[in-house]
Amino acid sequence: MAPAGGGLKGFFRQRKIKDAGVVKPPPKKRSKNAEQQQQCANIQKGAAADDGDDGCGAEEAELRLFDMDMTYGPCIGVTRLRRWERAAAMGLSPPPHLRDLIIILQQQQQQQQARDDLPPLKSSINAVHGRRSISLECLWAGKV
Amino acid sequence: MPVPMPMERKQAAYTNLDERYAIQGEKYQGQQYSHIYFTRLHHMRNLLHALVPSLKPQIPVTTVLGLEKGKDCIIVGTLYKHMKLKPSILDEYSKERSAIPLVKPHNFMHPDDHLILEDESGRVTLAGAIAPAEYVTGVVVAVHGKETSAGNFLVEDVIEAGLPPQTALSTADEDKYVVFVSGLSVGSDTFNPLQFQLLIDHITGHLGDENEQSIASNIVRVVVAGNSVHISPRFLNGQTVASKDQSRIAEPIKELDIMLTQIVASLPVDIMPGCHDPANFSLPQQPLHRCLFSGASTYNTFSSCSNPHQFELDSVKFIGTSGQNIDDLYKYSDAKDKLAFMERTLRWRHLAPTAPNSLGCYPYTDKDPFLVDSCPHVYFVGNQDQYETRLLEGPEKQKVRLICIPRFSESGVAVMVNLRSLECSTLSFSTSFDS
Repeated sequence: MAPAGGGLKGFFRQRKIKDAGVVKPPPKKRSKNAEQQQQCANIQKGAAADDGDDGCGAEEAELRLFDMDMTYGPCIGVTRLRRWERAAAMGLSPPPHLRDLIIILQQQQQQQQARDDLPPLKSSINAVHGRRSISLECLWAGKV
Repeated sequence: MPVPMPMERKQAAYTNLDERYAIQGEKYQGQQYSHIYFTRLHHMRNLLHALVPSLKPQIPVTTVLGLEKGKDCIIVGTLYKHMKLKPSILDEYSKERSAIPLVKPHNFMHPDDHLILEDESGRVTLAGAIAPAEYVTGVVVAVHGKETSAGNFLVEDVIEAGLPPQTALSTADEDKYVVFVSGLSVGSDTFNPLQFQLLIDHITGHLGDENEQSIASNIVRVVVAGNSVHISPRFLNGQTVASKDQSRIAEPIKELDIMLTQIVASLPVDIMPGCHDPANFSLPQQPLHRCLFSGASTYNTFSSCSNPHQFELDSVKFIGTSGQNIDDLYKYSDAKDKLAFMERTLRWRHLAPTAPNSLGCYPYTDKDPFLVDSCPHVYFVGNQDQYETRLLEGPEKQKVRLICIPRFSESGVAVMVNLRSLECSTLSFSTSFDS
């Protein structure tokens, strides 16, 4: 089927598909909030001291320090609660308030699931509850 | 003719201690083996920290990161043995002709092997008074020495945990025996049914006159330590089995079941899985399923046990395996005989230090079930080449009977242990008239 114009060269010409493919997003204005989110990507104890932001809170930063502490052993492959209980059984005296944090989150998640009537998640990932955002799994879960 | 008095078989109080090897309750969360090494190091380090001050007073204990050049100190960590000839999955991809020959050697040792000590903070190469030929990866020791300018650690002395404490044997007044047999290999070419039947008849008291029967009546338990069946490898290479061959796969197990039913009807039997049995591959091997033994499992004297197996009979503690742990030590280290390997595992207080490095193991997260906390009175290993035994004596008056059980299909030898005196003897069965 010979094309209308341009001859054979026009037959094979590629045309840009307008509505699909990778589209570069327009550059966003960096707001104050985004900057705070960036900071929370690093593990800094005092960085996100104010609870008001929606990045990682002080509690999550503390839990991440617990993950990275090598006296309690490797963190990948076990849930934080199980690692805490293992450390307690070995006599390493991990800080008790961390366990309370994890238990509270677990209960909140269970309540939420019961309310939403969803099937239980295969891996308990982040749960954003209000201003807090802590996880039941260690910080490397799903990323390694 | 006077009617002979029926003889009563002796009984012994049995406690099964295999709960630590059960994987039923474990939930796999995608973890790797780092957790086992962590729990092992932590447990052994506590032990060694308690031992070291009495053996080497005044010398500071430090971590690998805290080493200072030239300073005399003690470090505790897990040994890693770097072996040139150890088979690696990457050998297939290496372009150059490496040192590894195409035919795999039985023993992977090489004069260039060296040891590295590792703890959570770092690792350091060991040199000096520590012989790589005697150690394997996974052993936790304390070493005394100093760091050299080359960055190595020059070892002056090695401190092992040593034999664990043992509860003393209570004095018994009568002789009771336990019979150990392994490597029955029912279904293999070397299996001799008459030989096995002789063993069964002797144990159940159907053989011999009153003297022999009275000896047999003192046997309180039989332990079958692995490799009871042998399924032809051509059925197990992943190809589909023709329907006429499908019944042939189960024949060895059915034959074993028939034979076991005869023993089980007469006295308690413990059967452990081995490397050729239909059980899982990695240690601890779970007990063989009861459905395999449709005849024998109807008796309450039949007991399917895990590998390793731990039990207590009349307060005599037994620990044993079907041989995988010692065979693996034989591949990666050197010793005078198999009993020396067994002694080392007790001194290191770990049944299978090469797990999970070269021996398959379940990735536990919060325990290492192979750690030996209390010294057994009898330590047995099945499926060895020859019968060997020794009474090991420890510094705190521990007495352990070490037993290497030979393969019954090859040797016709079963082992009998006296519970009262821990003496060991053999039962040898032969069916040829010229030997």
